[in-house]
Order: sequence, then structure tokens, then C-alpha cells
Amino acid sequence: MSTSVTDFMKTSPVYEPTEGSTHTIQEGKEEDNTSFCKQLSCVCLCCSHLICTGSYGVLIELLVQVLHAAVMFYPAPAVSRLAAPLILDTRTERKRNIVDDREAWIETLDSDVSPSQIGLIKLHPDVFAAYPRLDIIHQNAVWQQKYRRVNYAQTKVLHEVRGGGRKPWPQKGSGRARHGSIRSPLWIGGCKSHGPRAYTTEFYMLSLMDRVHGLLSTLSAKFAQDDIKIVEDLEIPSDEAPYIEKLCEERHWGPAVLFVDDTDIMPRNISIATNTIFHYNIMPVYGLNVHSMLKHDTLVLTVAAVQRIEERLLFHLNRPDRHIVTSSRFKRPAI
Amino acid sequence: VPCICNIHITDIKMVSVLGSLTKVFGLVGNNLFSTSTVVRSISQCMTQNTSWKSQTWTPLVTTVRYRYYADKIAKGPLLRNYGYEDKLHTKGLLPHMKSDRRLPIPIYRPKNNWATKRALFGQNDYIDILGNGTLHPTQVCYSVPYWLRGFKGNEFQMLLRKRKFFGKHMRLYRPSKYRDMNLRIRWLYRYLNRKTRDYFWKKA
Repeated sequence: MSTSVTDFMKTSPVYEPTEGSTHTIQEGKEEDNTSFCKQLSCVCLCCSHLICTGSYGVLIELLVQVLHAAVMFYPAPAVSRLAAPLILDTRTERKRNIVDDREAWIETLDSDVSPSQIGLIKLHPDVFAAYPRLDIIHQNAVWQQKYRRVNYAQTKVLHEVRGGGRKPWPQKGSGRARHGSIRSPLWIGGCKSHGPRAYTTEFYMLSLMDRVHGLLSTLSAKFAQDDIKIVEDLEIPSDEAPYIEKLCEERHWGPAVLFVDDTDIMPRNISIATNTIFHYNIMPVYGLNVHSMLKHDTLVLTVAAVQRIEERLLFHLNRPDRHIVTSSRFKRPAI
Repeated sequence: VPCICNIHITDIKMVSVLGSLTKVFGLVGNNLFSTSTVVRSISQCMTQNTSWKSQTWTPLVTTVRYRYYADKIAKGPLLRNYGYEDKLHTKGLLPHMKSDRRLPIPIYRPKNNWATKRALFGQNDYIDILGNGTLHPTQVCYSVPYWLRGFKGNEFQMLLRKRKFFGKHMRLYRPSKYRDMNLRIRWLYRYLNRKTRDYFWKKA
């Protein structure tokens, strides 16, 4: 008794429950839909390089005033504030190998709504029910730490150490050991023979499929441990930090929470609320990574984010040129 | 030197001698009464003899380290066995000593694990997978110097890359550094190609 997204979107913005459904429509929800959330003075947090962090709070206050006149409309996601029940199933094809779809509640971040669960979403088992390979997760986490590291340590070599050009005493006759320079590695104050030489990088690339499987394993592990919460969108009624703190405390969402949405332009309220709280972070889907998922206890995904993640990971799992992509070595970008 | 009126001073040397004698007796700047009595006695001694230049005169010599016992105590106990380090602690957790002083234990300052750079570490590392595929993670490594993004190599390879990027600039504005870099490149070429084995030629 599930509808596909396309049918759903074609018919009407409000989901009509089919016969036999046990849930009832909550009236008054439709009003909220238009007035509440979409006319926002949204804040552009992304710089020219498409990196978005939710924590540039200083800019937000200024930009809110600047953009007050030019209101940027937050694009309405596929799932908007709707009457319950809402059951989303993104898979249009059924596979031969029957692996049960995983299901998860769709929640709201609006604490006025009770209960907070407003719907149900079916998750693709290949993404959220993959076998969690701990070795691959470890590989990915280590790669993330190492590949951007640059070691700036440097020791001086013989010709770089000050002095030491002259032979200290003649080769023969003095009775002392023979030496050519007072800065040789044998001497105190001398050079270091095989010490670090600046700009040592530990760069390497994991293959694409290794990284894909890293993401799959981490998502599956987190889902199995009930650390993934799916939310319809990141709208909250107030921009105060205590609101979101209280919300997370009540729902027992871990000490650190990572909110992920499909876009990099985040709603105003949540940006300001989480700005001062450093363990609540916001990220776009393209910023998601194994390290962040391991660092933050709870991962809060919007429905749009889930759809995007599933689409991307399934694409990479089933891409026709997979054998080419896995075998080709990484080519440094030509400069 | 305090002005002593009781003595009739003829010779300058006598003044200096008297001054030094007053210091020896610890009288500088304080007790003028005692000064006068002591000095009078000296002068009386002096006058008894013919002249202090004659060989028969012998000055009164008394060796005294401290005039007052309080000064001796104030200086502290006598230092014995100089240079000997008595190792009192031989087991257990030993303090880190350097020249007879304990080094201070540094104040523990824990790192802020939720500072922005640490909280969002690793963001965009999967941008080629989860994005639209046009960007590669090496293109967004902004913490890495741009000439080192996506690069790994030994010192020789690194210097060649550095020369390729910055050679022209260095020739004009950092000539000594450029020269040193070239010398290093030449040395490494000779060392790597003539002194060490790289085991790669078999695969060629």
C-alpha cells in the first residue's frame, strides 16, 4: 500500500490516504504549509567553491538584513508539510532478490507537532542494509585523515648548516680522528643525515568503489544502531539555540548531531540556532563523509537528502563503466 | 667614608687606610660614636710609633670573616661537598630535574574537539561520489598548498615540482634560495641515480 514519488507528486500536494488506512488526516496542517516556512530570508552560506558550513554565524546576521528585500525562496522539497500518514517508497522497480526494504519514521523538527512522527519512508536495502565492513570503514577514516596531510618538518643538511666549510685539522698527524667538516652528522651541532625534508605529503587515493562501500557500510551501521533520524526538512520555528538543544535532549539524540540536507542553502532558523552550538552541525549531502558520520553520534537526514544519497550511491554501485573506474589509477590534475 | 673630625689627617694614604680599616670593622654608615672610639685607639697606636712607613711598625692584623654572628647566619649554612648530587629519589615517579630545579609540569590544555575545523573535518572528501561528479576531492583541498594538491613524491620530485611552479618567481625575487634549491636538486639527482638503487629498472 505504497505510492511512488512520481505518482504522488503528479496528483496533488496533499496526500489522500487510501482505504484501509488506520491514520487520520490532521486538519489545519495545510495552512501551515504556505504561511510558515517557505517565505524565508534564507542565507547563502556557500562560498564560491561550493563548500558549505552551517557555522558562519557572523555573516548570517548581516546577510539577513541585506537580503531582507531580496527574499530567496527556499525550494520546496518533494515532501512538504502534509497530513499524515505519508509513506514514501522511492523504488519503482522490484528486484528479484527479495531483501526487505528498511523502514524509518519521518519526523519533524517542530516540537509543537505531536507526535513528531508524521510519516514512514522505505529505504533501499543496498544503501542502508549493506553488510557493515569495519575494515572498509577504517580504511576510509584513515584515508580521510592522511591524504590531506602535509608535513612541514625540515632538518638542515650539511651544506645548509652554518659554518663547516673548512677541514678542522689536517688529515694526518694530529692523532685525532679524521674529519672534513665540523657540521657533519657525527658532530654536536651538525646536520641530520636522513631527517625530514619539508613538504612531505601522504597523499593517496582510495579507489572509488572503496569509498562508496565505506559510505554504504557507515550508513548501514548507523542505521542498524538507530543513529539515523529522518526528518522532512530542517525547518524550526525559533532561531534560538535552547530550542534545538531541548529538542535533541528530549528525543535522546546523541551528544553530537549532524543535520544533512540536499541543498547548501540552509534555512535561517536552524543556521542561527546551531551556530553557537559546536556539536550540532549542518552539512549538504555532498559534504557527507565517513569521518563526520563517525564523529557525530546522530545523523539527521532530510527526506530529500535520503533520496539524493540513495540515487547517487545506487548509481555508483550499478554504473556500467564500473570496471573502468575501479581499475584506472588516479591521475593528478594537470596544471 | 664618614667625616671623622677627631683625627688630624696629614697623609692621604692614612685616610685610605683608615677607611679600609673602618670597613673591616663593619662601621660604614652607621655608628659614628663607635667609629670615633675605635679610630681614636688606632690613632693612638699610630702616634706611639715613629711613622707607619718605618720597618719596625707592624699593623695589627686580625682575620675576621663576619663581624656579627647574625650576618653569618643570614648567609646560610656552609656549603659542603660541592658538586655532589644527593640522589634522594631513586624509584617511583621521578620529577624531571634540570640543574637542581624541578621543571614545571605544563598546564593541561585539552584540545577543543568541536572547533569548526575539527567538527567539520573531512567534509567534501566524497564530493565526487555524492556530488554531480565534476569535482574531485583534490580540487577542494584548501588546507594543502595548491602546488601540492594531489601530489606525493620524494624530496627530489617535490623540488622539481616546486621549481616548475615557482622557478621564475624565485629567480627574480629569491635568487639565493633558487640557487640553493638547484644545488639540492643536482645533488639529489647524482645521489639517487648514481649512489642508490631504485629497483624500478627491472620493471621497465
